[in-house]
Amino acid sequence: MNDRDEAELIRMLARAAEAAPEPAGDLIGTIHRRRRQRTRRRVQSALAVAGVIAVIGGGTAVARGTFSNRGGEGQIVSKATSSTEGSPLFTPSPSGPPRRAVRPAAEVWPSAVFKIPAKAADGWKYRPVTGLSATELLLTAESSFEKAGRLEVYDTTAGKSTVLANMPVTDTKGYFVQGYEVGAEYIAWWGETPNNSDKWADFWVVPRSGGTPKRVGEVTGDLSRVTRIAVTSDSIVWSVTSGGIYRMPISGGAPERIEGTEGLHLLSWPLAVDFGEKEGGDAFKNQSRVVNLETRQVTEVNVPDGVENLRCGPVWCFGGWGDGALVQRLDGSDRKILQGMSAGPEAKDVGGRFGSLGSYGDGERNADGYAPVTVVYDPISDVMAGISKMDPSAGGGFGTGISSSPSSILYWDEGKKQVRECKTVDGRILPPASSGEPVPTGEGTVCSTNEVGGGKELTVVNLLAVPPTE
Amino acid sequence: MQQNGSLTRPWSVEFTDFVAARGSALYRYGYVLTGNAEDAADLTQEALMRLGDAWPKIRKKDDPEGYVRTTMARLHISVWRRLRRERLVAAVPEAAYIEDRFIDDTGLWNELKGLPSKQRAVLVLRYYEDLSDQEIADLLGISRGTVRSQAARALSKLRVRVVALEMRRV
Repeated sequence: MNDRDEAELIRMLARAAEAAPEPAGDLIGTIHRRRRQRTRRRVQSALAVAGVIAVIGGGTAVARGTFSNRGGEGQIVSKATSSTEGSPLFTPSPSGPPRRAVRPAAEVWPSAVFKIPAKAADGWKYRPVTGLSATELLLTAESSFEKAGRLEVYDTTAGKSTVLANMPVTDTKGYFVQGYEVGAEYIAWWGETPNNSDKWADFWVVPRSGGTPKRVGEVTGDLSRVTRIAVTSDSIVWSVTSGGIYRMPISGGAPERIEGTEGLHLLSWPLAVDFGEKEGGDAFKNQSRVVNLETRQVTEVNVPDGVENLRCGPVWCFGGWGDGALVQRLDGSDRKILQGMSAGPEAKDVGGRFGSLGSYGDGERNADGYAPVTVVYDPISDVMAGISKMDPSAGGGFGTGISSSPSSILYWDEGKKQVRECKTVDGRILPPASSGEPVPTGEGTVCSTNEVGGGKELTVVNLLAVPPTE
Repeated sequence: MQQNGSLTRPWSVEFTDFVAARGSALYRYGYVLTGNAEDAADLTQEALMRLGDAWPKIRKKDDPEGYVRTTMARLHISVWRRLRRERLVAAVPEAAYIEDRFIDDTGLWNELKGLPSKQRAVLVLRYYEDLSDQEIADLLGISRGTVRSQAARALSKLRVRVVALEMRRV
């Protein structure tokens, strides 16, 4: 006798998840502990170590993959030496001209590099959003991870921060702000509840000069699967994972699809492109047109054969080309191949000028020992600037600002070091890491990499502060 | 010379942040998958540790939470039960059980616990994660036909009628 229906099963599972007893221990501490135990049991033989790059999805990936309940934020990239499994994307080029020696951004563009405190006076952690001007940085201050509490503007000339707006405390359980955008008159953001299955999102604005945030409205269903947002003088604009761009009046009203935007993804108002940046299936496709939503002008991109993952902004396109990165203008002019560089998914046309070239080869060092974790390339002046610094022993990391449009900010914590420690042990005393692995024999080296220090100061590159090229 | 698994990788502060933000949701998913708090905690921990090992591969997908959820589903139906017995469980929930009547008053939650792990996983992926049968097949590495037969068997055991929602399935 079938006396139940599927809806009942769905409700019961949702209730069970809600009613799950809270774990007593702290999850992070437990994982750290277990990892240390396992690390001690791992025996590393003296193999050649290849350079491998890891992108850490900065906590929460922006991708909307198989699962619907996801959050989003800017990517954090970290590079590590180690491992036998690497992406072929990052295999060093066997031939071709030698890679250029890249100098740190602080030497290349000294006027664009700043030190800011990592925390506000009350201990809330800063997270850079984007540059508002050459001298102003938009930051969020968070009481805990991704729980943004304030918007602040950091004045790099005065070296201090002022509060632009206190963000409202929502009583929606599991609510996270997912993206910010700076418009001419407003700063906007959107949020959702990424950890439940509700298809729901809401939008907020606050005047750019500061004040009380206003909730513009909320959306449900496919309209809530936001990829990027924009804010104009009268509307919130956003695109969704399946393509299509929508708007909602700031004064209130129903959402509507902007005519003729089927299949388009917002890039940075008023520009839209035909493939989004974050959707998994589109990752290696080439963008073929850039559409201005205000003027309706469509610019076809000149896509050369063999390029991968071509991503364009208002002026420049960046893509993968064999072992290097390809840079060109939309019409294909000024095309250049940068050997040993990787365009990577985070390559962007920031402010119509800069490309953040995802990955700088295999961590090869300059004569003085400096190796950047990534580089920013200015195609106009053909200048590269190194972002962050590889530690001699292990790796390094950097973050990008969390604005919806490509952020003008890249940042890192110079106080944070990745320290790799190794010691020699008799392998026979160690149990295998798991039942599937062979029992170690002979002498081996046990290594662990730990992150130490940091948390006091962030080094910020604001690309809006790079002097214009002649 | 031999190679014993992968080497250690940086244990990033950002990863810690990820666990802080998503750990609870992942644990709840683990609870629905396994049916008890202790297994859920251990499954979540194990999947997160593997996530830490797999950063280079996650890069392409840009989807760490998807990776963890997939790992949890696969572990749940595979060797994980055997492995976990060998491990020290550091964080056993204090409230080891909850009153099932808070979840449902028809005994459905308890009957779900009686299902084989693969059948249970299929139901959780279909009705909690809202995945299509093809997505479930891809995720578990089985055919869509197997997904359907496992689901049908499980639903029949639980005496659940399949009518209204059948249309949406691909």
